[in-house]
Amino acid sequence: MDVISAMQVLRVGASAMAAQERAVDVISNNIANVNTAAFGRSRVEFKEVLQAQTEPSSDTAGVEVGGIRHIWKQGVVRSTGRNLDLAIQGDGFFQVRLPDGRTAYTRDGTFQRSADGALSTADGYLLVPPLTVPEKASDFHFNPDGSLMVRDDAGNWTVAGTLQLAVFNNPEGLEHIGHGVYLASTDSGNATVLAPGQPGSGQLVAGALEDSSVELSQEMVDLIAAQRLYSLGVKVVQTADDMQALANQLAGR
Amino acid sequence: MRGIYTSTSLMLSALDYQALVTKNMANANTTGYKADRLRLTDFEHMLLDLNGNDTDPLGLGVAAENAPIDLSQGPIKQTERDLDLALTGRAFFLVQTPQGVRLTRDGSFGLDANRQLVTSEGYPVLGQNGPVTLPAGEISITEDGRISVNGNAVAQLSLAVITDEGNVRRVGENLFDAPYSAANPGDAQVHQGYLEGSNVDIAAETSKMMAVFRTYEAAQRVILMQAQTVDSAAADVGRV
Repeated sequence: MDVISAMQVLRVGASAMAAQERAVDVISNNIANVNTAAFGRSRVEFKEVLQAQTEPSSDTAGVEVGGIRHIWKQGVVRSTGRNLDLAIQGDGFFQVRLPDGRTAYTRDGTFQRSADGALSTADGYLLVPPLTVPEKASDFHFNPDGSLMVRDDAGNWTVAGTLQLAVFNNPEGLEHIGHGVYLASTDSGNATVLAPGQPGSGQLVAGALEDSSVELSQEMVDLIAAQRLYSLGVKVVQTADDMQALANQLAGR
Repeated sequence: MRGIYTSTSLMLSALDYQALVTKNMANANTTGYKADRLRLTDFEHMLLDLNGNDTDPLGLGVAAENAPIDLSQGPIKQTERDLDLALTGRAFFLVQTPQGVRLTRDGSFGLDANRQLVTSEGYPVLGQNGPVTLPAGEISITEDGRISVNGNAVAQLSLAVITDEGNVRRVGENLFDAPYSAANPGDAQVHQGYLEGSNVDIAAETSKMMAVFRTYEAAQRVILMQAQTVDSAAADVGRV
């Protein structure tokens, strides 16, 4: 058997503190986004770590954050009455164009109309494919199949374009680049583009937004657990330090 | 002089125990974690030795490494996520790793880019016909491990029971290596939308940690005392 040193005990305690600190970060971020449209919560997944990952022994060396799982759970779709608010009831994503030309994906359907009539996200990312409401249009709305209906001065409704949704084999694998915008990754697979209402894409609900899927009560429970385990880690480190001090007294004699 | 060595051995054993207890505590929130068991009988033995009964001298490092893992059921927590699976009963999920088939109770599964069922580490989860790939749609998993998508049967999870519980090895990442049989999962039940928490009892581990610390401290005091005795004996001899 390896001779265990107090330093090793200390490191185990430190690993618990580091892992729980990360959990507190993730939970805090969830709580901060309890009112962010279409926000999906994340959770930390803990893994036990062995002393030597290369040559497995039965000694665990504590715990680490194995990964942070981004969970897409349907949020409540809430009516806003604003005709540029869109919600998806289902698994699809809106497609938007980043300033560098890449296509990114979001569930946040708080769209706006820029000066030239082009529809974009609140951050100014244009929809893909581009949709424009002509300046002279007197009214417009989206149909559940994604078609953008525009009324001209004469009162005639015409289709100005069709909104499309992207679906992924593994949406949990999408890469978050901030502001609720995601990129496709090797984990998520490539986007499959579908019209709203197709099997798998989800229903488009116009004049509504999807709520954050964060449940405050659950986050608070998780937060308390993480904080408790953090202080337990502190206690472990203190105890290991006290043991080290006792051992040192022997040497100092 | 022998007393000093006995007490030193006791200190080292206490340190081993402390390592074991703290590892458990560090994993009190790790999904599907199975605690390392403290052999209390050995621990009481240590205390006896401390009281001077060295009829059965203590070896170095009291078998902390060989103590069997506590495979008891952990608490089941609701997550409402379709691919979170908790097990009740004695069975384990089977996972294909590059090192071979491993067992786990951590059912926080997901899909990869090809819709294959994988662990959060990306290892394929095994069904009765090998790795499981799920078509798009509503996934439902029954208590006996049958997976269906939009009501169509797709696969059956492979559930295995450990055949030699004294021979279970941790390999990290919440996985175990052990002899198993997938023929009859016994009383196993799969619960979709739930995860099994760690079976570490924090309160119990905390009190163990304190007890072990006191033992360590006491052993240290004994060494100091014995060393003093030797000192004064040496001084007395010098005076004569």
